[in-house]
Amino acid sequence: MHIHKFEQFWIKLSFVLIAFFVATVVYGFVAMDLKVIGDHATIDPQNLADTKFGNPGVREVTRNGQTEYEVYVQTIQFAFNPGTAQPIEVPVDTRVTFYITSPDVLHGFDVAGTNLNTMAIPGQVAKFTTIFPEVREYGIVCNEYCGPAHHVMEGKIKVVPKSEFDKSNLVE
Amino acid sequence: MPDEASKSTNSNESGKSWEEQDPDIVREVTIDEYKPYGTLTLTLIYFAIVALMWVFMYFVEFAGNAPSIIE
Ligand SMILES: [Cu+2]
Repeated sequence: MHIHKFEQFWIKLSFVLIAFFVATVVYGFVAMDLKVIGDHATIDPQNLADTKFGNPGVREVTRNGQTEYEVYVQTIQFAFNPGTAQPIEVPVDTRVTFYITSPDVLHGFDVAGTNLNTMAIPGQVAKFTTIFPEVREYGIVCNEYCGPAHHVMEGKIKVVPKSEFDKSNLVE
Repeated sequence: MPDEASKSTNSNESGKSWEEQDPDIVREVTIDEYKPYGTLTLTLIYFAIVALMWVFMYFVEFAGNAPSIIE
């Protein structure tokens, strides 16, 4: 079969384009050190009460001599606990690790306008660590359809200056 | 399948060229004499747009959207 040389050229070019896409993704995850949510742990969604999710909220921990924070969040129909009734308050420029799970159905935990975004799957614990670089409020939205009031499921993260961080809201 | 280039240079079984068979054809070219530079230009523009949009989406919208997951 004879293929016109222009056509041969753009067929080759499309393979170059695919190689370029793959190369940028490899570059992102190797050189730029991008991270995505992995599989951290499984959990019995019926018995969250016996775990740290039974008392969700912000915990202070010391890791490698540094003060860090752990945030345990339950996503429920149709709220983030904590997050919806009261905002999740964390200090700026500090390592914060989120642990998120769902006791009921599939939800999403998307910190709007950022790369922080995970599914909340019953039976699975999603874990990610981040550092909030500026003092501001972020919205959290559920981005997986979870029922009739899915569209109103939202919450807030309040990033405050370290000096204004109120430790009385921490959970044990 | 016969090679299209050879088919267009040689006259077909009636012994007439394409011009004689169809007077609307003003000039006969082989497939490799046919040079669709317009299509080539559009294709290159299209590839450039796709590559630029990819770079924007991946490096700006995705990787540049701090705070990001660091661990
Ligand atoms: Cu939801």
